Amino acid sequence: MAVPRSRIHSRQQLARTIDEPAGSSRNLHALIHAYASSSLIPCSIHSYSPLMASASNATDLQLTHTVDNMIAVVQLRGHLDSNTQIAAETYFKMVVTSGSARVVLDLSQVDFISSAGLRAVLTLLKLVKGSHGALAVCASQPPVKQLFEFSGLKTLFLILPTVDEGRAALVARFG
Amino acid sequence: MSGESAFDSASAFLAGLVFFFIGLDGIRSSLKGLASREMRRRAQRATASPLRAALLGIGLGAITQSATAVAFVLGGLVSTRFLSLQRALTVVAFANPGTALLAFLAAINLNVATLWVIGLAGLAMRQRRLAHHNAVFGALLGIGFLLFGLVELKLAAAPLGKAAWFEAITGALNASLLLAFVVGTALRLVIQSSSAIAVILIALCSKGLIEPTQAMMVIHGTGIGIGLSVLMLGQGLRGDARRISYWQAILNSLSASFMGGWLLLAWMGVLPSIIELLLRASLTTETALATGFLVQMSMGAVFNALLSAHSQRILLRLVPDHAEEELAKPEFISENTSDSPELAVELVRREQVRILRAAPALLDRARLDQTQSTSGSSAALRTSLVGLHTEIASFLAECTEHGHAHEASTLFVHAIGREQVVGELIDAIDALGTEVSAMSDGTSASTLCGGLVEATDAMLHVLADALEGTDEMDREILAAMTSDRSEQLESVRRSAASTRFGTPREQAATLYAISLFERVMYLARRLAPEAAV
Repeated sequence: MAVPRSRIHSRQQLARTIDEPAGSSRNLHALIHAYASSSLIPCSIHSYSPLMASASNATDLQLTHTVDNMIAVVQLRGHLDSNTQIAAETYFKMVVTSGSARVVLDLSQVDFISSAGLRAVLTLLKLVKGSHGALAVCASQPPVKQLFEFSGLKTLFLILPTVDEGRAALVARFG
Repeated sequence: MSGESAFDSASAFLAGLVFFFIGLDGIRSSLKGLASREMRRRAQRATASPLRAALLGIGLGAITQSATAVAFVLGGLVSTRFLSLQRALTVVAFANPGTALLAFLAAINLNVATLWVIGLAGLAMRQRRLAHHNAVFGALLGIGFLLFGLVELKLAAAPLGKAAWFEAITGALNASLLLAFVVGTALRLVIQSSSAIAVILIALCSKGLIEPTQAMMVIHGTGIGIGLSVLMLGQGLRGDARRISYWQAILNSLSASFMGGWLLLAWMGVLPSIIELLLRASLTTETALATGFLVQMSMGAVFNALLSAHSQRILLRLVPDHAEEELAKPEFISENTSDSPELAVELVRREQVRILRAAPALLDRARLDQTQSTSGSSAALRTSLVGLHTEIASFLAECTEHGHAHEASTLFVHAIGREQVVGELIDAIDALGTEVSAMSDGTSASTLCGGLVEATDAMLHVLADALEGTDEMDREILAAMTSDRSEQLESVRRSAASTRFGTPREQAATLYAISLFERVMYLARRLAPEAAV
């Protein structure tokens, strides 16, 4: 059942709603939209609870991010596929529009990315480039890393072994 | 009837049938040779009004001598949008009386005319100067063979009546009208030509081997046979082609039921029968049967007229549209847009985007991301994509015929080249999907190739975005995704070729999949907006 935005009055209430099991993807999409649009997330926020992007057990994706020194580290956990693409893109949009155009994508906890997931990453790339930022994709597991290699995206964003290296690369570029 | 003469009759009958079908096939294959765009355009003009459509139907029926063949030919024309479905239904309905022409020919002496047709058409085909008309002479030769077969059939039927077995069969038919109707249905399923059956019956009837009423009932039964035959042969058809075959089945079944019912009532003494009325009008038995056959076939046109207001609704309910069929139909290009080069090329680009948006689904059967899989058939999707590609290619070929200025011609030449690449891309994507889907799950080969498939899918989406929009970023991403990575792929090839990778078959399949991936990448690079003029 979709949760109307008007029912979300506080971060605690939102967190409770998100933690409710087995919501439909439309419901979760509404939640993400509500979260992204609400005034509950000022640009200075540094971290918050994980957000479930899909209700399906097999294809769960959890998204969290922290912002430090103008660099957002977005951590993904689970599968990034066609089930979770829209939710991930919405989340990425929320991160970038909230002021973080320098993004490190931590994929250490992602065991599978499909072409739909790849397109979600490309959406993030477009967002950060459109905001004159940069993207570093870090800590990919071998199958995920191989997909990035097959896709020939090395020239468009940084692909680095660790999150720290990604953060350091963005600091070096933007100072 | 002696054994020798029975053997002679059977031989002549068999040879007659073979000549008849060779002739029928010859006509059809020669007509295929005539099916150029110009001919199809003429066909479209020929159906501009219902009257023209009816005349065309009669003509097609008379030439092909097969209501089934007309239904399938029109199915092709409607599928390629050369004819509207409504017009095609009219043509199909009137093709039925057209086929009855043969029965009238059987009622007259054709011997000499047949020999002249065969001789002249055959000699003309040997003349090099007339080589460009070979399709026409081939069709004429086919008609000659067909008529010769009819002559043989008539000659062979003469002594049959003296055979005891034949007397038993005709005796059974003469005893039961219902059996005659069923035999008509069965014969039509076997012989595939109602007119041929009518001709045989006329020959038998003229020799007094079967009663005219029973012969008429056999002819009525063929209507159900046409319906069943069209439905069986049309199993593989989809969309409008299937609708036309359904309509042919409906019209013929209605005609057969109506005429059969009438004859049954006449037999019960309620009404006078058609055949009685015709014989009373001083027609010969042969001509009366031929006319009865014509009436039966014309009933299809009558039912078509009665149901025409509801035909499309009925057919849409019987054969709903599928997504693949919609895809095969051009959305933007049409003959009216071929005069303006810039507009034509722009509309072609939009059609190409439709292909590129749909083509990734050819990979669904091989995807690692099974949540993406669709329930549609890859073969049906491929057919639709190739159909749309053929439409675009034909449209561009037609555009070049308009005699444009040099710049416009250059524009079209480049567009034709790009469309050729689109066709090759469809083939390469389909081959990649087929190859990878055949791999066993959980192997190194399937994991590696699954990655190739996911990368290909993403690349195709970006290509469609880049062609459709004006976002520079899409073009930049596409350039990166289609950049030359031969070194990287060579390294993947080396690892796939190592003995630890899998069985030799898996290795070979993987190497082929890598080649296909490279080919898709190369073709996508050629289609990139920067490559366009």
